[in-house]
Amino acid sequence: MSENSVSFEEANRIRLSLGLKPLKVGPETSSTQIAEDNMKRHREDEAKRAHEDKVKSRIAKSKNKLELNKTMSGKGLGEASDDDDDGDLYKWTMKSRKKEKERQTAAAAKREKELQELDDSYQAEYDEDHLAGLRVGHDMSDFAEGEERILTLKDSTILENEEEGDELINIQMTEQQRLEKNLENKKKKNRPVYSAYDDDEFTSGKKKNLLSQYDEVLGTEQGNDGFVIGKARKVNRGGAGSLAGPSSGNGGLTAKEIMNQKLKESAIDLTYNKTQQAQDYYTKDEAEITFKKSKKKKKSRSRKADNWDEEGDQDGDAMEVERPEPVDISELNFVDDEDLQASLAKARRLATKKTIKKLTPEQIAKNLAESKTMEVEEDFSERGGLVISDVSEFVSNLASSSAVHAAPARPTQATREDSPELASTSSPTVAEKAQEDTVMEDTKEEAEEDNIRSRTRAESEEAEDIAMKESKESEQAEHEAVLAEEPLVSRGLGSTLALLKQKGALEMGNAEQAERSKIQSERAKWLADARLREARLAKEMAQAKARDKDKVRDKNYSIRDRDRDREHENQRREQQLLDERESRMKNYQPDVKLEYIDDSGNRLNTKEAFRQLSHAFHGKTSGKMKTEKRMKKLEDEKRLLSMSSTDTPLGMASAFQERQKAAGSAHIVLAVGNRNAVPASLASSTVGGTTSTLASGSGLGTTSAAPARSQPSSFSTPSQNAQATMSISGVHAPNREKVAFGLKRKAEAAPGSNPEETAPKKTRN
Amino acid sequence: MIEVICNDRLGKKVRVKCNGDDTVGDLKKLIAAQTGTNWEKIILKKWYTIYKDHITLDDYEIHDGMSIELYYN
Repeated sequence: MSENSVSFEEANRIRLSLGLKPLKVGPETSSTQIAEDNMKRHREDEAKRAHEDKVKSRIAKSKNKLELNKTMSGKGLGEASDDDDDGDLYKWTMKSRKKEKERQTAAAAKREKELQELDDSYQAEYDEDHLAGLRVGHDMSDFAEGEERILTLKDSTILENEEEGDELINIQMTEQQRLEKNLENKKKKNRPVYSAYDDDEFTSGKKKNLLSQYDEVLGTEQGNDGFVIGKARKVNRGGAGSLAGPSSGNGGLTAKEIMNQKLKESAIDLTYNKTQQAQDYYTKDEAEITFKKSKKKKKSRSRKADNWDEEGDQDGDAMEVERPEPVDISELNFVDDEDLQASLAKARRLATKKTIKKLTPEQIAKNLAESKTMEVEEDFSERGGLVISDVSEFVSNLASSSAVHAAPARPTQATREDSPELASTSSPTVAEKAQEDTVMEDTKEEAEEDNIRSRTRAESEEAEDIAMKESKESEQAEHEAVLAEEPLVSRGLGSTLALLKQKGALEMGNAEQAERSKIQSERAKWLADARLREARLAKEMAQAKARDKDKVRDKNYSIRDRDRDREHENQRREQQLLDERESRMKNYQPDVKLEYIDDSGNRLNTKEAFRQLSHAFHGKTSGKMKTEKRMKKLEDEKRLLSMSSTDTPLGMASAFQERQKAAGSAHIVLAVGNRNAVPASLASSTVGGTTSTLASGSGLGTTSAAPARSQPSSFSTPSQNAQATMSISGVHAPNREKVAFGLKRKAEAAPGSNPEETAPKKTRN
Repeated sequence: MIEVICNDRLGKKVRVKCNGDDTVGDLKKLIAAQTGTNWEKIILKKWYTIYKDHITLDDYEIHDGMSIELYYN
């Protein structure tokens, strides 16, 4: 790993190009560096100091030595003295005694001088003025004139001393006072503590502690009485003015008197002005007195506040103006206090007057203006403008719908169930009637829906086309059946397919599927072609073989040649095959479609397919309930498919048609009981013909009379068709007893039998 | 002036001269100038401590001769 480093100048150049300051040269002045410097300095200082101390000590030592040596100066003991050469012992002793005495006297004199000096110094400083400001713990009255008392400092704790200062007391006097207090307390103890009047508390201003009767004066409490020694005034007064007054500085008053003064100041005056009205609201002054609130700085809301203030002042002024009105009512009242009554009356008057609003001219003008604007608004709303409300919308909707309804609907398959048909039915039984009612309702609804649908379809067309089609189809309508036809299966496969499509059983493929199928067919074709080709090739090979066989006879054509040729041929053929395959596979897109089929041939969707798979995997199918449910579902689907696509499940429409034909009228009489029969006269004309039969109670289509029964009747072909359809739709119905509405067809009765004999019987199936 | 060693452990090792009161961002710029990368792509780390751009080297207590790991993002 090579180290990449730049020189100092290079580094500075880079830094300048980047916009940084150039490098700082020298030792870093970081905090550690600073600390080191400090340390160094500190050490240096210490060293210096140590050095100085040493020097000083040396000097002192030398000085000491000198001094010591000084004492050593003079003659030593061993040396002979100057004045005495004889060595006289007596003289020496006398001299030495004298010296001793001198020394002593000198010392004594020195000592005395010093003491004297001290005394003088103290004596000189201390005089009367030094006593100024000291407190004395006794009352001035205790000291008699000319008495001499010795005062000592009072004992106190350090804190108290710091706070209060020194206090001088006389011990005997304090003791005496204490004794007196204790005696008093003892006397007091005998008296009961509680007195009804708690005057002491109020007068003295001091609250008594609990069980204060047992308090003993111990001599350590602070006394309140006393005086402070003042500065001596050296004017003629002399010492008299040196004592100041009592300590509390109250100006000669006792505590009691002070309390009294205080109470007097704070006393509340109970007098009141009777004639002054009792007002509900505080005046400004009262409010200020009672609710003293620290006024905060008012912000720039002053405008609004000013308005209110003005109004308030106005009101106040108005009220005040009214006050000095003449009092006449007082003469009428015979109550004692006239002034009071007067004021009450005034108040009453004011209250009543307040309810009546005084309209100032400005107010009147404003009211007028407001009313005018209101009127203008109302006018505006009445004329011109579009009013949209629920009612208007509904009406407009009706109008539009009725206009569309006028254009007749294009006859489509499902719109032929008109209301007149419904009206013409008559049910044989009550139950049938009920059923039919419900069915009628359903059909009615259907009819309505279809009408709506037809209406929408009509809207999308042009009016002309509608008119033309209308004319055309009206002609056709007479010939066509009211009920739409179901295409016959017997006609052919095409019609079968059409029927299935109508029923919805057939799923027509969409474009994608068509494409798919196209591709598949192409592929199949190609495969077929390929097979053909292969077949052809095989034939060719056989031919070639045959040819080769012939060639064998040729002598020049050796075996090797033959083999060579064969090889070539094979190769070529293979090449061809491969090329073909490649060309086919070029745009090969596998199209895979998985379809699942169950046992009975139904196509399964993914869910059912998976269920099939899991049943097979686990080896157990669903239980009884589940399978029954499934079976039921499948059955229902089948029945759905087999239902008639153009009629109700009960075949009501066709039944109604038949009934109509049988009755010969467009209406159906709904009757109960035996009266639901077709009148005999009509029945005669119709009995020959096929009558519509309804299997009551069955949800399936009707079975028609045997086609053999059909005789040439006045019925048009549509009716036959209708019957035919009914026969088809009723394929699944079991052979039920064929019952007409009230008419029971006698089985195999003679064609020419009297129809009147056929008793109209009602049957219930 | 301190000299900081930035090592890539992939072959890039640079000695960068800078001041103690330079920020880490400035240091990254110097490194970029010497190595030829984009300074915004450089990440300086010490074990798992990532050095933030706005803090000075002094505050990070990066002294003369210290090694810093060089990464890229």
